[in-house]
Amino acid sequence: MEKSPVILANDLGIGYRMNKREKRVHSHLSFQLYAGELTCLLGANGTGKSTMLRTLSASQPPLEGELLLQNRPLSEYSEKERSRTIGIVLTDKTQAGGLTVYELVALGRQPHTGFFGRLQKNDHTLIQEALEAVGISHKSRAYLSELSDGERQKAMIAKALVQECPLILLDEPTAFLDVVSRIEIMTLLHNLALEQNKAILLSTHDIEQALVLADKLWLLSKENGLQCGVTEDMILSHRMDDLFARNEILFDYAHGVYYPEVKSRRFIVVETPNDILLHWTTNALNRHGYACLSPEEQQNGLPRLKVKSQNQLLYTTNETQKEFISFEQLLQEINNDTTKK
Amino acid sequence: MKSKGLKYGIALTFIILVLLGANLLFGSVHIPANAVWSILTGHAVEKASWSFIIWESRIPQALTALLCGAALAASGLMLQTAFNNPLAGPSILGINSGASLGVALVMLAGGGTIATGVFSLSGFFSVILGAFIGSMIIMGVILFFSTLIKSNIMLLITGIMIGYITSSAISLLNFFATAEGVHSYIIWGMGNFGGVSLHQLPYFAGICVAGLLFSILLIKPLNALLLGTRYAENLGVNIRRTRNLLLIATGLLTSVTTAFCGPIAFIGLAMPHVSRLMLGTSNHNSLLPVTLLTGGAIALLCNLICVLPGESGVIPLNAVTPILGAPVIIYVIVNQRKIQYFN
Amino acid sequence: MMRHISLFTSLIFSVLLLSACGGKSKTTSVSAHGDTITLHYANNLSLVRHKEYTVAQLKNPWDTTKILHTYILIDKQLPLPKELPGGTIIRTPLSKAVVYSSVHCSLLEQLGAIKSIAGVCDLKYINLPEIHDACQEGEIADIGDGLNPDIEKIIDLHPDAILLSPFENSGGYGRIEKLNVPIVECADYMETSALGRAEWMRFYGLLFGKTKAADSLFTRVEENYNTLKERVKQEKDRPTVMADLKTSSTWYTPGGRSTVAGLYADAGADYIFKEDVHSGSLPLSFEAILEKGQQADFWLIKYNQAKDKTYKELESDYAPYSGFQAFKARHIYGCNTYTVPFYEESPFHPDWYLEDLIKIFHPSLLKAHQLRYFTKLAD
Repeated sequence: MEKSPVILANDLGIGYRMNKREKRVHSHLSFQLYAGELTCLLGANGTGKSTMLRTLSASQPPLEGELLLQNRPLSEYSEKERSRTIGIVLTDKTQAGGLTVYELVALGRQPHTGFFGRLQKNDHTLIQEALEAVGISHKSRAYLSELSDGERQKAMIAKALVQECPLILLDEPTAFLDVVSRIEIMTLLHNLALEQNKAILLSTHDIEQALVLADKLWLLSKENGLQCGVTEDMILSHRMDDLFARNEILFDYAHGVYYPEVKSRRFIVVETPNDILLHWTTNALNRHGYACLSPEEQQNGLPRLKVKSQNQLLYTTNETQKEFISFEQLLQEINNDTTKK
Repeated sequence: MKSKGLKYGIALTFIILVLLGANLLFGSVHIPANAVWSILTGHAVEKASWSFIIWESRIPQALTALLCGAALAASGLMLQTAFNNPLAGPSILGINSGASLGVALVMLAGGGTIATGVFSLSGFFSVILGAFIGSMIIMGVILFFSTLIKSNIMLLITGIMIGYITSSAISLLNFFATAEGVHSYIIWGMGNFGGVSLHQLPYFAGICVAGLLFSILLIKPLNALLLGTRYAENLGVNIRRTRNLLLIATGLLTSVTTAFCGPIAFIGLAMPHVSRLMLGTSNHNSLLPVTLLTGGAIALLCNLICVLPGESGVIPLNAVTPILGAPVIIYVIVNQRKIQYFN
Repeated sequence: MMRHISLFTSLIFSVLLLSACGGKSKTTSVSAHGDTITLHYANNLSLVRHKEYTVAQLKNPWDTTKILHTYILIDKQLPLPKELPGGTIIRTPLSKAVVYSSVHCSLLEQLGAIKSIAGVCDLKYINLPEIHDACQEGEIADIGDGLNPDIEKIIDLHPDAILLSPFENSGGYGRIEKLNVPIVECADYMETSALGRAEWMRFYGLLFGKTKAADSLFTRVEENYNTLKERVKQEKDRPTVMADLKTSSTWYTPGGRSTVAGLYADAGADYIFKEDVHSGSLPLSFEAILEKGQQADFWLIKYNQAKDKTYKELESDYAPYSGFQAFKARHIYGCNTYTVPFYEESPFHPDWYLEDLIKIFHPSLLKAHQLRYFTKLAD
């Protein structure tokens, strides 16, 4: 399906210009952003995610290259056109605590209203719809300062919706939110992208949810620049390994999370009946400094753990053989052993 | 929220009318109420001086107070929103100091007049002109810096620094001036709603109303600015242009009030907070009109308090305004956590 | 007249006595043997002549139960007596005095004592050409601002006295107190009658060794004044008069017991606040003044600016001024202190001031006199 991209970039260079000096964050970037999809921008701190978003929202100019928004150069857009095309959601603090949710969302209609910002009937309809779409219409009369962080973000998203923009850019929308709110917001954004055919790009540190809900991933790093693609393609072609240039962080392909590498000279052989027990046993042992080997890799002299169930843990060393009924007991024993040695 | 704004608006208008009446009825000289009524309806009274006092003194003074209060409160509100600073007031950008410097130059260096070879303006008129020109020049300087400086906080600091520089120039002028000159300058600095004559009132009112209309046109961008400059820009607000328009509006309002009435403390700083507390909103649709009305009302109240001593004299205006204004501000600061618009 | 003769004889007598004694002196107590110089008008000054010194006591005008300052005047040529009453010693006649105020400079010029002035303050406000010339020649030093004088210059002059005007609660005069130079607190301006203030010239005459000149000057002034006052007494018609202009929200006008009010009364006019009991200034509102003064016959104003005020200017200053009868009938008289030496001359010449006032209020009495300080305001 050849859709026309909402954003098209060619050989783009982004960064800052201070007087005559340039600080280039990234060069030679080429990418496309499509409507109807949720795209997540991932990368370590300081790799330029915010710079990218600011460049795309026209808050700062690109240093070189071509940047097209709906097939027109972004630089040619007037303020008014921009306000009707690009919606943003940030984590900035505002002085709007004294506005009600309704009034806040209503501000999103400013690009479409006249001199005094008077709201007509269709404005009110749009506001109501947006409130319902994000799920806070029951709080429309509450003050912004009374809302929880998650609810406030939803209100901001509703405001962006009401601007009727084909493109919405969000800068870490789920920062500071609990897991429930995070999932809610990500799901909401994905649904909005799909149902309202919007192009939604967000930067996030929530890798877990991004991998679940994003249609496309944009991976940004100093070493490899920008790599874009459908989520599963990116994962399975091992792009996640290069995202963070640290050797101590590894990507767990089975579970879609990053975890710290275990560098240890202590080994233990682990035998489990299923993957779940294997995963969590390994998790506990790694945490206590043991690398786990499978029964096939068994060597003589190594301690051995046979897990029958979560309450039946058989631990064998050269000296002893003990059975524990919980991980707590097991780990205590292992710690004792470790200190003895 | 709209209905709350409307309710307060009507209540305040009523209060203003009552205060206007009180300002006509009470003054240093006792004029009985029925005489006041007769004078207003165009009938003769036993003492010609009474009619004169009502028409030439009390009516212009009351209307000046009303307009001044509204102008200063509106300026304060706009500055507090635009610079995201609850302690901003009309004096913060140094525009007041510019007016004071103009007056100081006229009173202390010029010996009370502006005299060039061709013409000379006397006394009070030259003071007004000096104040107006002084404040306009400072406003021009701030506007100039506004084109160079992007950050609001930096512009605010620049304005404060300019205020300090003008204050130091004023100190110098005071130091080298006569005792008479210094005394006159100090008295001017105490503020006075009685400085606009009936004849000058239309000009004064005209400029005030122009500035107030300006501020009403800024309601939409001011609301957007509540979200911060990035969001406001995204909503289509041209930050530089809005800021410049705002500086012109507040500059105009501050200049004209300081020129005619001297630098008046606190009304611009305190009344926006009073309005916010009453209405419980930051939405300028209702906040700005209500702020205008509270400003006018409080000014009329202060004017009334100033003439309380009756026959024995008057209390200077700037001694009264802080007594009403400071407790409000302290209350706001102490109750910050409870007040939603600070979150 | 009699008073003057006795004054002269006692003066000559004591001088002869002192010179005859040639140095040896007996202590005398103040009250027992002193010869009080009678002052008829000044309330806050007392002068008592003793054999070897004269005691001048200045009452505190803000609290007349207290003494502001006591001075012991001792002739330079005589040795210091062994026992002296408490007070600041001044060796007379002064020959190198620092005089802050142009009022006193003007008096000294009339007494012929300009040579005794070593330094002045606020030179630019002194309207006396003799002083300016002397400054040019370097005979008189410019000490700078009266509120913040140049201490080094004062020290450099080694003056034998500093003459300045005291203020209520002034909290001291700063560093000049540490110079060991006698400070003469000239509280003459706080007298509540015009002649009372003028009579202080006798004290200044004593200080500068011009007692004869001072006494005779005062006699002339007193006589002129009282003669004029007598003439006016016969006038039955007493016009009403109001004073001064509004500054910002306050209109300061003299109290009913002030010097100015006394002058108006002596000039045969009724000051609109003659019933008031204050001797200082009254801070009133425009309304209060209008209430009492709207029908006043005359309006006297004093101001300081390059060009003389006009009715037009008054109106543009504050339009309601035109509501006063005196404005409408063009009976306003102004004194522009920028060009007229009113403040320099009138304190010690209240007779000239009175003359002007009588000319304004009762012109038929002084047909020949030309106004000295006031002029009719131009349109």
